[in-house]
Amino acid sequence: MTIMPTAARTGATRDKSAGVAEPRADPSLPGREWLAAAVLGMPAAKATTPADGLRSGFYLIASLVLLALMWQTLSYLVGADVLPGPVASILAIEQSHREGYLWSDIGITAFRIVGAFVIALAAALAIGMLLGRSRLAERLFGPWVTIGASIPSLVVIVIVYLSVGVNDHAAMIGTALIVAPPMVFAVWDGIRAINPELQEMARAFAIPKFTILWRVILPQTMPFIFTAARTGLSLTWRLMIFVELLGRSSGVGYRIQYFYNLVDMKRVMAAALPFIALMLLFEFCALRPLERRVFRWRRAEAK
Amino acid sequence: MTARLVFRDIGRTFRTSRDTTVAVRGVNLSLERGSFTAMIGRSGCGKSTLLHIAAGLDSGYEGSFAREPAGATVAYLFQQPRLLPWQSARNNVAFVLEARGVAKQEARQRADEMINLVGLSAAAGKFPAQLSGGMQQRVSLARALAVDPDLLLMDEPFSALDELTAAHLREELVSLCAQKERTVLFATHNTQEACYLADRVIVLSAHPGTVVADVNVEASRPRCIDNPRLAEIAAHVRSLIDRSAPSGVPEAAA
Repeated sequence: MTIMPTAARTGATRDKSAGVAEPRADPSLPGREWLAAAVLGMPAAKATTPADGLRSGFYLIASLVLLALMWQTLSYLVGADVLPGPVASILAIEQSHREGYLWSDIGITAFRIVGAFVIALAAALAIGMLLGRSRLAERLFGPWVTIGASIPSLVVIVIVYLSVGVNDHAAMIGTALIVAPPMVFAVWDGIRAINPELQEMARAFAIPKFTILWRVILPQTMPFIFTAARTGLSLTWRLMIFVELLGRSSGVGYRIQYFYNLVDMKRVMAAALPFIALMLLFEFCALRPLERRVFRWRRAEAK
Repeated sequence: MTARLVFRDIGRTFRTSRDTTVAVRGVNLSLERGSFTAMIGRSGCGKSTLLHIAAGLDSGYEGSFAREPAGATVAYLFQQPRLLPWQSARNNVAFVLEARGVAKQEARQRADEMINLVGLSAAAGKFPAQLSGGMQQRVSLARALAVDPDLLLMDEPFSALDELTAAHLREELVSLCAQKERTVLFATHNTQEACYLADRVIVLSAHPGTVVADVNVEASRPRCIDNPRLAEIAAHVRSLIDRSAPSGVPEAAA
């Protein structure tokens, strides 16, 4: 599991005449790719009219049905004990529910994810702003972020478990340490993309300093902070399963490892599927609508 | 209350680790209340530097500069519209009003009036990215006039636009400025534009920027763009600019 440190770095284009730089429309974000492109085979749906929305909804359902059919077919071909089909996997979820750990697993893992994410976001905001504002800090500490991003995840996790102890704090800190560097790059880019011309305009109109910070500078960095957050969140949830598998005795990752040891493929699927569904739901029902609403000015093209 | 500007022996030097550039040197200039003054000269003659000083954006100059009254309201029209891309045209105008303490409701209302005044009522709710360059510059003009400035500073506001749009906006500017007396300082490198708009044209030489001539544009208003008297003055200004160019230094014509 490696992380691309350059993904966020190259994500910004600086175009003074256009006012504000924006993160590239197709940032090579592992989260977005994994969720949207790999699973659903489509980029962020841009529904402009109700008919378009209906059509893209239809294709989404068709895509999911097709995926389930292929999965089922593959299951028949290789054998249900090697690859259980979708129906068998979903029925196995019911079994997990009966045994009483379905919701507790999800709850515990979600709690750890939120913890790790909050730590990583806070660190990325602080470090990214420092690097973006101070030339000295950029020169001295900039390389550290690149180094941090290139350390294999497993090494970080093992070191944190050994030094902090095998507990929830270590799981959160370890995950945050791995997730933070690409987020730092995104925030850093955002701070550097601040257009000094807009600040100059505001100063020429004698606008108070605090208002300039709040209403001229901060909105310019929002697209980058949003990019950082959504990259970080998707990376966090995939990593956390792995971190749990290595050193926790609860959560989705632990459950996967448990059934892995029993070579029970059906129950492995049953452990993973609800969580994947939850994350997809969050992506499509919360993140994307929010992003579309907040950044609708960026999609406004001259007509 | 319109503003009066006095530049006394103004010099401005920009120092980097590599070299030092003298942008302006020994500039003495006073702009009377309600006057429309154009500064003209080749690139690097310090027009923008003087505008920055007048706006209070730059305080690293030598000599003395005074804006009377000190609390005069300033508006600045840049070459690029410099609108906030995440705000609608209306809110871009309302923003500067709100930030200066006008109540939200009143700011919106005044912004709408200004947007109407520059002929963009249909586009008030649009984002800058949805507007053409000329329309964006109009929003920028509406923003500048919305604060009801005592001093209006303009830095080549029409030079990035196509000529038809620029001509139209120049006429609008003249009629909007005629409604109320305000002091205007306008930088350009277009001699016709300078003579059409201004009462007085200051010719600057480059490297370093110094005042080489001060021309009064004696033509009654309202003016017509192809008034032969204006063309004569423009030709005179042009010859002054040509004379001010240091010999042997090829200057890119603006």
